[in-house]
Amino acid sequence: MNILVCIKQVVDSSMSLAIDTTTSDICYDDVAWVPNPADLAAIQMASSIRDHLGEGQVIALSIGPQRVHSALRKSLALGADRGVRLDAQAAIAAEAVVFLLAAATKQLECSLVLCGNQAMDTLSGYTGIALSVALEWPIVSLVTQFVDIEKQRSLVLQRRVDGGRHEVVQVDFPAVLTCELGSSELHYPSLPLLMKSVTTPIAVLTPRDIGVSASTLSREARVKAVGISPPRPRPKKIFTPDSDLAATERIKQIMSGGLAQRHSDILEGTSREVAVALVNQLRQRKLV
Amino acid sequence: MANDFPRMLSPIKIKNVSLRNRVVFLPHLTFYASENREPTERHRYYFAERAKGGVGLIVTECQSVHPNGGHMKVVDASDRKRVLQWRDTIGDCHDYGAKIFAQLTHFGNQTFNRFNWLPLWAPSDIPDASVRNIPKAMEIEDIKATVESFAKSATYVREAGFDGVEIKVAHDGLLRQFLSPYSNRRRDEYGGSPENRTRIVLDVLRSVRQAVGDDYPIGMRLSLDELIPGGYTLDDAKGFAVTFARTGLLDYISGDIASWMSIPLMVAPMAVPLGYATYAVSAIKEVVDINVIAFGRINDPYQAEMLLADGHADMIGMARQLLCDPEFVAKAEQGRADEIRACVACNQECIGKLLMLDAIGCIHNPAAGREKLMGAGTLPKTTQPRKVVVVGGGPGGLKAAEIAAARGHHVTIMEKAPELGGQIAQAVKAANRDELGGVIRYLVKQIARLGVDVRLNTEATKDLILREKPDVVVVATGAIPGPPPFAIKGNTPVLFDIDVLAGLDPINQNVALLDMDSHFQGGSVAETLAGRNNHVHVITPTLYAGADIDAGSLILLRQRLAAKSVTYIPNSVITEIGDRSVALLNVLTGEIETLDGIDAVIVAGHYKANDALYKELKSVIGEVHAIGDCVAPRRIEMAIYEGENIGRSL
Repeated sequence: MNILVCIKQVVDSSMSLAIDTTTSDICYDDVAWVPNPADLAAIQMASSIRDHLGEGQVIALSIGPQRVHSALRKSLALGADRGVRLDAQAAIAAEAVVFLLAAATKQLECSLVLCGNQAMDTLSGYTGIALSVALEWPIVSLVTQFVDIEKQRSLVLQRRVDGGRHEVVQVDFPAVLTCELGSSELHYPSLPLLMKSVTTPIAVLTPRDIGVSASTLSREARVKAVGISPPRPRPKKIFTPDSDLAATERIKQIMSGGLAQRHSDILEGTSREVAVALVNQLRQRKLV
Repeated sequence: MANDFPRMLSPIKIKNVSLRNRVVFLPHLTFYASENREPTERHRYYFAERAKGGVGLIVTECQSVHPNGGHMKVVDASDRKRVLQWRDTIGDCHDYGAKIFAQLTHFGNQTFNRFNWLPLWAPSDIPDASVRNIPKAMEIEDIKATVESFAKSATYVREAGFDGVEIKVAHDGLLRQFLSPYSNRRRDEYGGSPENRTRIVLDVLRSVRQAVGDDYPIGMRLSLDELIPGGYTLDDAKGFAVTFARTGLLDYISGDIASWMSIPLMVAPMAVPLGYATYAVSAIKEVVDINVIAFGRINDPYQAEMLLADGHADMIGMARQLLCDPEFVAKAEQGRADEIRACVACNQECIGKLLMLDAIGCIHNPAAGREKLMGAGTLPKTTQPRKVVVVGGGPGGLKAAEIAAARGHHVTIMEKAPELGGQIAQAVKAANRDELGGVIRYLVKQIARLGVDVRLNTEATKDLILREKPDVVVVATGAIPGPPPFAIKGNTPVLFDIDVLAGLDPINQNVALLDMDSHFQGGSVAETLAGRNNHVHVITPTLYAGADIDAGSLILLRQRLAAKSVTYIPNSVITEIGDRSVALLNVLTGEIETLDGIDAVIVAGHYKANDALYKELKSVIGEVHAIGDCVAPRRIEMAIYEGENIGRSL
């Protein structure tokens, strides 16, 4: 039994990003791409399930151009057995992605699919849920830990619920899981796996290879982004008198602490002496 | 944009009105309206000057929508014909690329009814402490009539061609009085709960929106904290702002704070920090999605840019700064930010004049209110450059030098002191008066830019001046203190205000300060003396010390002096100095009493014109002019005005 893990390559948001003023979207020209961390957590969980099952393969699959190979190699290093790239435009609609993934799941004969619970860039949390609908398989969302396998046909999993609590659930194969990065740390790849990840060839499939035509894909794209607007910026926090204080107290506070704290000294002497004294004052106040 | 102010200078839209930048000339009373309560030519030149200087949006002074809520010197917007008389002003502002909105109000219990003797209307029969007229508690019919009058005036505003309308719920006006639990004690649907207190404002918003249509901008100037006991607070104002913004009828909120009863924070004088009201604007910006205009001692484009960058507001409002320098935006745009004439918040000619029911001006900008004669473009280059010697580097001399040099004359300025500034160089040493130095800093910068030959430590004698072979001499030698206005019969030392500012004042002593000007010469010297642990008795012939200081500055000064236990003896002058004592004459009763235990006497605001050089030169040089205090000792604005005039006449 094969396990499919869906890997998305996302923009490294720890780097400074430029915003395109016309589209309000990120400028993708000069960004670094990294595998979505929750998807890598899914690879680790899938590897652990495979090891418990003692059979099948973990297939890391990513949709996109050549650049997604780096994400697939990282997946191989963390325990995937195979890397598959579905050759498609980077920016295809989410429903088209789900349609492709459902077709690939069948094509690659997988009966368990793991996704990260959400992508670090868009945070939409859409793919895993929609995929379970497309496959008509049950879903366990927000999985934090793989617990056990019962009778080679069902999984025992821990998932997060509100209020910091966890629940333990059981689900039969086939199923879709969305995994949380949560407390599960991504471990460092072992040297043999790292070596293997470099040498293992990445299989490249086209949508046509898995029986999906371009027209089907465009038909599937039913939700369109109409616009992106930046959030209303929150003002920088500044001192604000407490409305519970008496008016005279509020006035005193305003007088002593607007944007410019008021304090004045008159510096006297020659221009040189005044300049030196001024520089000293600025240094003392750590303004220069 | 290769500019330091990308945010401030970026365009913004209010409804369908595009503003070229984010600087707003805030509404403020000018008292330029005619006796018949119409807009005047003075208005037209005043607003056009700011439009010419690059401001994005102008909001007129408030105009009254109803006869019961008017003011003798504001435009009567209940009359269509008078509102339409703004057309020339609007046309000029548009020609210069600015947009102009009209502000509408009803003064409520802050109405000045001296011109029509009508009863004041207010939510309850509570007088405003600063006006003291007991108003009529409005009947429901009065409320309905007021709401209708706002809508009616708004249609006139739109018809006149204004780009938008602003409703005043600010430091003065009926609508704030309805919001305020202090002035609104009603028990019907217009009083009590916050919901009821906001009802009339919502009624006005809805009726004005209906009157002007959906495509027309409506703004609101909203006082964000009344700062009076029993009044509403910033937390309350946040609630009001959200309520008004949620109607979807309002396009922006323009920040404002305090009221006439908390006037020091309403038009804050220089003792209040720059940007003092930013916290309140920021709090509103955080809770509403419509545009918010910042205000409150913003006089510098870097400060404005920082406010926008930190997200406290969407636009920057200023009144006094643009009164002081109409070219604020143009200078910022052209990389000449250091040439901006910064408002020093002296409040002498702006709010100080209004409180005397007189038209506004600016100490620092003689053209304010005189734009037709002195505004931008009225200073032609001379065709006959002359050699001009200015004697004295006080504000008058500096202004004369600046204007003469700007016109192309060759100017030399002689100053006997080691620095420029005249009396201002001393005045800035007084407590809380340092910002006044901005006036001199600006002028010094200008004369340096214009290549004026400055000679410090140079006592200008007749011979020295003749050696320069000047075509014209402008004498601006200022004033000298004294002589003492009393008989000196004992050994109590007598000093003058400038001695105190120069640091010659007593410490830890019992001091009698004779305050002859009842302005800041006395007031700030009293504060300086008290700050050096002297026990100060202020003796003044006026009814109270500081009688000529604007209310906001005076209240803060008197608070600081009270904290230092300064005592006052009004209606009195010193007639005689004895041994550790002074004799006082009560100018009302004629009684004489003795004040014992006095270690020193200080005389403030008692000056004599220093006109010796002028008189000496008059007979030997063809063209000699005297300006400023050396003609007659007066205030700074008059010296600067005379300097400007003489510079223009050469």
